[in-house]
Amino acid sequence: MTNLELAAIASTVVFAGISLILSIRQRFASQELKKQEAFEKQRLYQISILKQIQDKIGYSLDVEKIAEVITGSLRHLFAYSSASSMVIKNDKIIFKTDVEQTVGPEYIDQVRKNMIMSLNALMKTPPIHIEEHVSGNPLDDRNKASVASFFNIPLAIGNEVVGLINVSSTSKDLYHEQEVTILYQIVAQASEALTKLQQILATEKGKLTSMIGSLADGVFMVDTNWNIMIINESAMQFLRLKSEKVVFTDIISSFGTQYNILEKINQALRENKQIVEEKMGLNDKVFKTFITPVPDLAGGKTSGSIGASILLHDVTIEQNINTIKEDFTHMIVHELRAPLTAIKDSSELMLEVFEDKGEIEKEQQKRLLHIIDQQSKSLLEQINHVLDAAKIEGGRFIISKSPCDMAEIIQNAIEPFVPQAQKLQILILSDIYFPLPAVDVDPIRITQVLNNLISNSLKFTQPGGKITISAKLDGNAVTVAVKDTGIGIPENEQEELFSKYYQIRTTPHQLAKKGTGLGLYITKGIVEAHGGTVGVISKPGEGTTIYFKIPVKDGAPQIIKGHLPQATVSNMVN
Amino acid sequence: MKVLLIDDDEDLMNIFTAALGKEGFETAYALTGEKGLEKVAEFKPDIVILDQVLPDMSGNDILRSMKAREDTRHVPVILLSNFSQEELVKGAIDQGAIDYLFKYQVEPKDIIAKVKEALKVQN
Repeated sequence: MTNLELAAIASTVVFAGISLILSIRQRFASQELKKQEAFEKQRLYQISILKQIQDKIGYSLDVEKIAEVITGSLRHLFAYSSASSMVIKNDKIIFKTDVEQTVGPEYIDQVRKNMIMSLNALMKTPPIHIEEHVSGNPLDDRNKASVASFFNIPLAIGNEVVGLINVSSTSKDLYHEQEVTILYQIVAQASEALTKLQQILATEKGKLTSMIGSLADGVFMVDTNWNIMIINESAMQFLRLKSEKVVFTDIISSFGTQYNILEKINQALRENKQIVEEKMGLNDKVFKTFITPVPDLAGGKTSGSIGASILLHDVTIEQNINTIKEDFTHMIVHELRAPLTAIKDSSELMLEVFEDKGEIEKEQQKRLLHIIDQQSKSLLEQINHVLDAAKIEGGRFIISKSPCDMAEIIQNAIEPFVPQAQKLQILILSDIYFPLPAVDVDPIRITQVLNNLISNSLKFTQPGGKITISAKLDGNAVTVAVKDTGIGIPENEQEELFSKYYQIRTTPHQLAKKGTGLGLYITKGIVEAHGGTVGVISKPGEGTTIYFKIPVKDGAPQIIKGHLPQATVSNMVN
Repeated sequence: MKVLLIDDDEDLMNIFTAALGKEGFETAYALTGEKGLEKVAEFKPDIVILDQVLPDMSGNDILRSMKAREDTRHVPVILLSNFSQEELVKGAIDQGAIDYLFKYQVEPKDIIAKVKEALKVQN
C-alpha cells in the first residue's frame, strides 16, 4: 500500500469518525430538542386545559360541576384507566367515575376504597351515604384487572376539603411527580378560584345580612325547600318569634289563620311574580306585604326561583291617620252639617210663613225659632272647638293667668249643668278638700276644661248615676278630678283618649251624643298650657275619672274659706 | 190625611211636622219605638215616616209589629235611614216598607213629595 493510499484510508477513517461523532452528537442534540419540544407542547396543553377549565368553571360555585370539568379534561395530559371525583353535597358523597379503558366492577370498588381512605384522612367525619355514577366505557363483569397505580388530589375551598379527584390505572408504576404536579396545579387553580369566589360571596352576604338586619321593615327569605335562609330582627318582632333557630312552621303559625303565607309564597313562585298585599293585619298591626320570588341568576332565565323574599312594611300609623281623616270627615258631616241643615230648614219654613205661603201654629213657629237659636249656638261652639284645637296644634294658644280660687271655678262650672243633670236623673256633686292654695290659671279656660269633662260624663252616664268633681292639694299641685259612674273606657282606648279626634266607638244610636271629638284634645292643650298634666283612670262598666294637675307656685296664698266640704248641687228627680 | 213620624231627633221632628202641617197634613210624632207603636194604634195614621235606629228598638221591629197587626198592616211606611245602612234598608224593604230617605240628606220638601206620592199611589 502506498503512503498515499494509507493516508487516504486514514483520512477516510478520520472523516468517517468525525462524521460519526458529529452525527452522534447531532442525534443527541435533536433528541434533546425533541424532548424539549414535547415538554413545551405538554406545558402549552396544560395551560390550554387550565384555560378551558377556567372558562368552563366561570363563576360557578358548583363543586360537582367543577370536578366533572377537571376529570373530563385529563385525557390528553396523561394515560389512565379511570378519572374519578368525590364531592360532598347535602350530607352525602357524590362519586363519579369516567371509565377510559375497559375495567370490571372490582376495579371500581378499589377506586372507591382508595378515595374513601383518602377522604377519611382529610376530613373528620365524611358523610356515610354515597351516590355513585359511572360513565364512559361500560363495565365488563369478567374483567378482573385491578388498580395498579393511582393518585388523589383534594379539592378545597379555603381550608375546607369539599372533594377529591382520583386518577387510576391498571398499569403499574405509571404516575410520577410530573403527572401529580400537573393535576395538582389544575386542582389548585380551581380551588383558588372557588375560595376567592366564596370569600366574595361571604363578604357580600355579610353586607346583605347587616343591611337586612338594620332594616325597620321585617324581611325574611325562604328557599324552595322551606328553609329560612335569613330573617331579620324586625320580622322576628312583628311575627313575635323568640327562638334562635326559626323554622318555617313557626312562621306559618305566627301568621295564624288570618293569612295563608304558605299559599301566597307558592302562588308567587308558581306565577313567578311579586304579590303585594296592601293591608295585611297581623298582631294588632297592619302591614303592606311584598312577596317576591328570588330568581336563580346563576342558572339563567329559564331555571325559575331559588326561593322567595317576604317584606313586611308596617303601615299601622298610616292606617290610623286614614281612620282619623275619615272620622274627621264624619264629624264634619254630623256635627256641622246637621245643625246647619236644621237652621236652614227651620228658617225656610219661617220665611214661608211670613211670605204667606202657608200656616204654621204659633207654638210650632216658636219651636222652629228655638231650633235656629240652639243649633246656631251649638254650631258656634263646635267651630270654636275646631279653632281652639288648631291654635293648640299651631302653638298659638294663649292663656291669661291670674290667681284664682279653684273651688269657686268648680262651683260656677257645675251650676249650668244642674237642670240637664236633673232631667237625666244624674247626681252632680263637688268634693273640695280645704284648704286649697290659690292657683295661677286662666279661669275662662279652666271653666272650659270643666265644661268638657262634665258634659262628657253626662253623655256616658246612665240615669241614676253620679258625677263627682273633686279638688285637693297634692304635693305642689292642685288635682282636679271629674269622676263618673258611666260606661267606662276600654283599657286599649285610654292611651289615645287625649289624641285629636278620639271618640269612643259608639253604637249608631249614640252617634247623636258625639261631639267634634276635640274636647279632650283641647282639655289636654289647655292644661298643658298651664304647665299641668292630664290623666285617666277607668274601668268599663264601673266608670271613668279624668283628672288634671295644676302646679302651685311657692308661696301662693292659702284660700281658707268658711265653707265646709259640701255642695250637693243637684237633687235626684224621681 | 194623617202622618206619623217616629224618630228620636226632636229638632228634625219639629221641622218635619211644621213643614207637613203647612201643606195641610195632620201630624204627630214619637221619639221612641214604644211611644211610636202606641201612636200607631191611637193616632191611626195614613202613613208612617220611620227612623231605622231608635233608642229602644229598631225601625225594623216596629215595621214587623205593624205588619203583624190586621189594623196597621196596610199603612205605608217610609224609612229614614242613616248613611251606610244599605243592608238595613234592604231588610226593611223586604219586610214591606214602600220607600226610604237618607236622613242626613233629606229636606222637608223631599218628605212632602214622598208622602204625597205614596198616598196618591195608595188611593
